[in-house]
Amino acid sequence: MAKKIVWIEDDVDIIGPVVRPLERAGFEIVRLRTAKEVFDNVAKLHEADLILLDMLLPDGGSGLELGRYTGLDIFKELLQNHALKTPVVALTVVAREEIRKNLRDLGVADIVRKPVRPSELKERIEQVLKD
Amino acid sequence: MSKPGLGITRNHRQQAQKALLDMFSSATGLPIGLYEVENGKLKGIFSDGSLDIFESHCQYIQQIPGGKELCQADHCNRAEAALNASDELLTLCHAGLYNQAVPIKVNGKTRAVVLYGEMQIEGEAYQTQSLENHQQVIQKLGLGQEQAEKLRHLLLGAKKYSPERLDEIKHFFPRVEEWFYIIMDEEDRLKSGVDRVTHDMQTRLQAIIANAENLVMELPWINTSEAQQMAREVLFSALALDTLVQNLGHYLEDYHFHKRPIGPLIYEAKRVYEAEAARRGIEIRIDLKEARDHPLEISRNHMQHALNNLVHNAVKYSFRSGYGRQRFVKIDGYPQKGHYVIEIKNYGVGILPEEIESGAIFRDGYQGQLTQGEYRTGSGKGLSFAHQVIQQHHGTIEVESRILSDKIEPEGEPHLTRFTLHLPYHQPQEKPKDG
Repeated sequence: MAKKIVWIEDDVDIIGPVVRPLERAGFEIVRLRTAKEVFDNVAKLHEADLILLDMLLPDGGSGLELGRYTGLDIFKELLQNHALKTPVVALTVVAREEIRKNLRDLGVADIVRKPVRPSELKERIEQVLKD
Repeated sequence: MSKPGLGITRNHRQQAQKALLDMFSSATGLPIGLYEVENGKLKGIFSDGSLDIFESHCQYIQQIPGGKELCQADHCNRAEAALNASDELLTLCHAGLYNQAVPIKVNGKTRAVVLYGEMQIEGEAYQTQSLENHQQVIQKLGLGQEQAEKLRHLLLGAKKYSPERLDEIKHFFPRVEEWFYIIMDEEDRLKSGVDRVTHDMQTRLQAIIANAENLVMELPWINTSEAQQMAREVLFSALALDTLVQNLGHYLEDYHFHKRPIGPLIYEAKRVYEAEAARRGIEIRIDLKEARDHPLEISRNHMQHALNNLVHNAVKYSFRSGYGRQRFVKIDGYPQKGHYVIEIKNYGVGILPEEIESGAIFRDGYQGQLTQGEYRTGSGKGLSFAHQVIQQHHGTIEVESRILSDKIEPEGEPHLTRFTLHLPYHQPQEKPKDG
């Protein structure tokens, strides 16, 4: 059975060319574009085998400062109020150490810096699913 | 442990702040200290206890065993109190002198706290509280009668201000505060601007990189080697551009030191440039000894990009394979006397002895004299950046480049060039500043 991945990412340009090779590799990708869509579809997150979470979403501030770090806020909310158990891989262009530390402390399965090659993302996903 | 990044902003901003504080001290005759908020915590930035301007009372306490630590803890406590306050506070130090503690707010956030003062204030109530603290510090430090007498004498001899004079000084400080605001706000704008540009560029690069790799790997209808070669060129160029964009961000980023194995960073540098190396007919070989056993205290992002730049240079300046000879970039790592040594060797375009001796090769924007034609591709920033990163890690970077033989190859005179990094396992602890 195909492994189901929920990809929370708003940018069509980013996701399109990366999704194609993942789908070809046999993954089923479900896309959610905003924080609102995420919280309207929490059941999909529980059902998924893995979540790819962009740290910058359109309905939550610039995302460039820790205090307004939307992806982080979403992740915290999912952990605290929705008892999320699905492994989360954080995708971020901001690779600052304090952000990485916050994400690691919260228990993300992996942190992938964007831009990422599709082949690398596929390897990282497979590694997390194997673990 | 953290320290400011290489960028112009933070170092220059702190110099400007120091000049402002010096100006305030000169105008008022009062010592002043600055605490910055970093990751939600206060960090002492500028407070020089050796200045003559500090009260003899304070200098005397600091000479008594345990006195310095008490003073530092007390400073921090008062700065913490101001951090959580909406406005400035008049605080009384543990030894009986008054200070003003001023939170500096930028865009609604407290970014720093300034403490100035070390004074007596006229009026019975002020004096009574001052003497109470004075008695307490005598007990805490276990002073004998003679020492207690001397301390009391120094306390009573400290500068004494009327509440009205204190108000005048308080009215002067906002002018300093205004400049603090301008300087910090400007730094925020620059950082935020670079973040946005970096983010936008990397978002676009994501699409280019993913599409280029798809062309190289996934689409069977591209069956001509020429088309695949073009797709590879796009991919390599986009990956190299990504590294440049990251460098831009790291110029402004602060250093955060954590213990990490160095091996994965070296393998990551290989991964990034392996395809470009293969295109040139060059193999990147790695041989690391005991890299896993002893992690190094490093600022990961900075070190990664220093290594990326060094490995990229080695690849970029290697001669293409020819005459049936296999070419390679060799990376060796081994422990040596409290350091981990990394050697990066390549065979190709060299560096002149005078460029090494003068240090020109590490100068920002410098391009080596032997790099000509297709080899003159860099901005001259990569080596300079790597050099600064290694220095910030209290390590060293050495370079040697020698002609291998008299035979001139089609690409020029062949040199064996070796960059040797000595990285300490541990970073020296920052010395606490007096004040």
